[in-house]
Amino acid sequence: MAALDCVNLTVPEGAVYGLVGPNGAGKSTLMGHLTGALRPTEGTVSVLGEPVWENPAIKARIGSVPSDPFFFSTESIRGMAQFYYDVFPGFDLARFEAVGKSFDLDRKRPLRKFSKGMRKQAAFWLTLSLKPDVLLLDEPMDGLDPLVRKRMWRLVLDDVAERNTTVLVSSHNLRELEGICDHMGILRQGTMLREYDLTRASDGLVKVQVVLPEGAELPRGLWVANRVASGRMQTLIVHGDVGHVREVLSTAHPVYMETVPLSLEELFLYELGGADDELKDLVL
Amino acid sequence: MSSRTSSSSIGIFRDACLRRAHVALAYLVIWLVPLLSLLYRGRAMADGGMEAGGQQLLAFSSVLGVLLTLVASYAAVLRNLNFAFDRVAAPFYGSLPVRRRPLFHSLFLASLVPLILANLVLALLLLVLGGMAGIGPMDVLVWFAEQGLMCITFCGIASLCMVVSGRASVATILFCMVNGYVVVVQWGVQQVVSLLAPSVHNGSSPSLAWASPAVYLVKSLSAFQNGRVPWLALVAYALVGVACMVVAAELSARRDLERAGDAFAFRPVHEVASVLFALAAGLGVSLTVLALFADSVSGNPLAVGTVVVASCALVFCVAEAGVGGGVSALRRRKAGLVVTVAISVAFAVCCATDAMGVVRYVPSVDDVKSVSVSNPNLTFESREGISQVVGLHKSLVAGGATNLANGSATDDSAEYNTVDITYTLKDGTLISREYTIDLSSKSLSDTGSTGSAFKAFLQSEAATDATCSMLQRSLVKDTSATDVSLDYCPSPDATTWHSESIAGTDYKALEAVLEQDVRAHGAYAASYMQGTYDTALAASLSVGAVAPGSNDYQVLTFTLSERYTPKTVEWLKQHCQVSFIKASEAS
Repeated sequence: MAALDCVNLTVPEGAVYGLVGPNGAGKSTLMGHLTGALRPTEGTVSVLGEPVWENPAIKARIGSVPSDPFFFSTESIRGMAQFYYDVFPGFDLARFEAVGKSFDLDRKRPLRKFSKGMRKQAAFWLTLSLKPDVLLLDEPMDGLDPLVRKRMWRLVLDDVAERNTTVLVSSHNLRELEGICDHMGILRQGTMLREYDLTRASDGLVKVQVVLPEGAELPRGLWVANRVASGRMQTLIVHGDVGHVREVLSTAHPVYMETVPLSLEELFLYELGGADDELKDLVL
Repeated sequence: MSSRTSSSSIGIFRDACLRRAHVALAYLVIWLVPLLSLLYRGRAMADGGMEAGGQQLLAFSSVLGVLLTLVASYAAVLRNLNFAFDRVAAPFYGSLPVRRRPLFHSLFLASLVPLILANLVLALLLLVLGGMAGIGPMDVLVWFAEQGLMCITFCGIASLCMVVSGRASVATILFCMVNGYVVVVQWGVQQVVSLLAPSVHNGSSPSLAWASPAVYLVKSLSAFQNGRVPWLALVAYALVGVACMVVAAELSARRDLERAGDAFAFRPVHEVASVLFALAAGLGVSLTVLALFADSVSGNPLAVGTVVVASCALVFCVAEAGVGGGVSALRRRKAGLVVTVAISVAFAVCCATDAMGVVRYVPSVDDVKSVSVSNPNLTFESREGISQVVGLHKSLVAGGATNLANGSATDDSAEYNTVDITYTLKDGTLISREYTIDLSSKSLSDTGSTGSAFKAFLQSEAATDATCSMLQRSLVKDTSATDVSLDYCPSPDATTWHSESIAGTDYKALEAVLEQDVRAHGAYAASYMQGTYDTALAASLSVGAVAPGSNDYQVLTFTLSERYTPKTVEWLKQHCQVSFIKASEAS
């Protein structure tokens, strides 16, 4: 069975693309191909418009934080920085020093003595110092505490804002990517199930909060996917376009009505049909 | 931080050199011990007026150098290329901004160059200090070239083993197999053959040691003490090392990094290596088992063949189950098992039918450096002498090989004696055969029998000259290395034999009478064969001396007889004031 089969991703420049899928979906394999570490058995893998396999020029523009980062066993952050400096033409010492202020890590201590979370931070530090055009993050926040996660995301998003870095981040948990990604792709069993542009309003699903007059019922003609009531406030997820939904609801003379953005979880569950057991794990 | 390198490949090379410098440093330090000892001993020899002491000791260090270079080269390459065995490190190296081939070359050179530099440091040290130990600049240059060529050889071979393997343990086994497989298997085959053919003791064919670089280099550099540097072998192996490196670079570009942690990175290599390993290890297991039951299985092709085939199959299954992580892995390895069994069955059949011609094998005269024959102990180095022995060997094979091979050369009605023929070939290989010869009077008089062939050999001019030559060399007055003793039974009712030593001052006279007897009857006079006749006396004369060119102590024993050693018997009676009785009268 192929680990990946005809997977195409369209990641706009400067976007933060969330790649989600259950364990074994092929996310890490895809990341391996995008870093140029793995050779495709068929076809080509292109990054920045050029094949990445055996292409040092493109690989030099890619920074990668794998789920289990590698460091030389005896080396410290400083020693690894020397290696990166020797090997990656994009490694910037000034950037290394600047980014380093965000990390509370001992530069001289051997990395093998670091905890998993500290090693992850060290990988972030070194990778961001490469000033990559494309940043690949494979399950990047595993092992990090919430405060550090927040700090790491801020660093990544600052990099995107300052340098227009394109970020591809994989995760098996949708909530991890909530509020981070502007694009999303769902991978299952080696195939891309669907890609989604989160910057555009959904053309098939509307989330609306509404308070109806006392005793009033929801008007007919709405295809409600989910309904949650909190007092008189109802939060509806309705299939259809925004105009049509508002128009139908207006017939009930609502006291309050506002359209709110869908969460990734809601998009996944109600629009992408992720209700089966395997994909449900993504939001748990 | 140090300054940035001009390219990623150079950066990787520099980093790897510095990061793994400890391997070369350890190599340097370990070498210092024998080299300092060499200098110390060389100086002592030079002070004692001995010539070329330094050169000889350098030659000794060269043999040590093979083993040390072998280990250091493997360790250096392993340290630099073992990322391919690590599922975490492999993607990291794969994502570096450098193509696969330059990455491989950088890491390979980072293994080789520090070792060469370590050798250079040692060579400079020898150059500075070697003068006092009689080591000249040319000796140092030769040593450095040798070490350098060996580093290239072993690093190249090691790199190929690394690239095709997915685990360090498998790479190590492959490296050992490349450097010693053929020699080990050839030895194993010879042991199995000797079980089936009792006449075959040592060696069945010219050595194939050249196919095992480490073993061959140890052997050929041992001969360096005679002043011959095996340049051809050194250069040829270095070229093999370079070829291995080139192939490894190509394969590294095609290698799937996901193979890290698997036994092998390439399926065809897995197929071939597992079968070869099973055959060699199976042979070893079968020899161990057969050694326990040597008496009952010797000469029994069915038993030996069954044990060999079963052992090979068992080793294959165990190895594959181990590599594959369980017995279920064997389901995918049926083809390999079939090939292993087929080859081992073919081998067993070949052994049983002597299809390889081991029993019939007689070395060519041109390939033989020297040959020794037991009973009497004679060594031949001249072409004529070697031809005589080869002729005798062919007669023995033609006349009795079949019976001997089947282990059935025992006929109670006949008298037998064993004869060992041991060849030393020009490439250093030893080939030994042991034959049991029928010495009955019928056999001796029967033209074409093994007994008559052996008798004719002993009466040949070459055998006679060899016997006389040995007597001349041994019976030298004032030499402490010679021992001549007379053993005899003084009377028919004596239960023990008497023994008397002949003094060195009598050697000359004794040599004269012995030589007269030998010239009259050939080497036959010095063999046990004439002891079978009625004229044999219950007395023997042993002449023991250190063989020329070796430290072996050779003994030539004359069974005294009125018919074949009359002059010697007479001289001994007069000189030692003894009387002899006939062998048939002794109790």
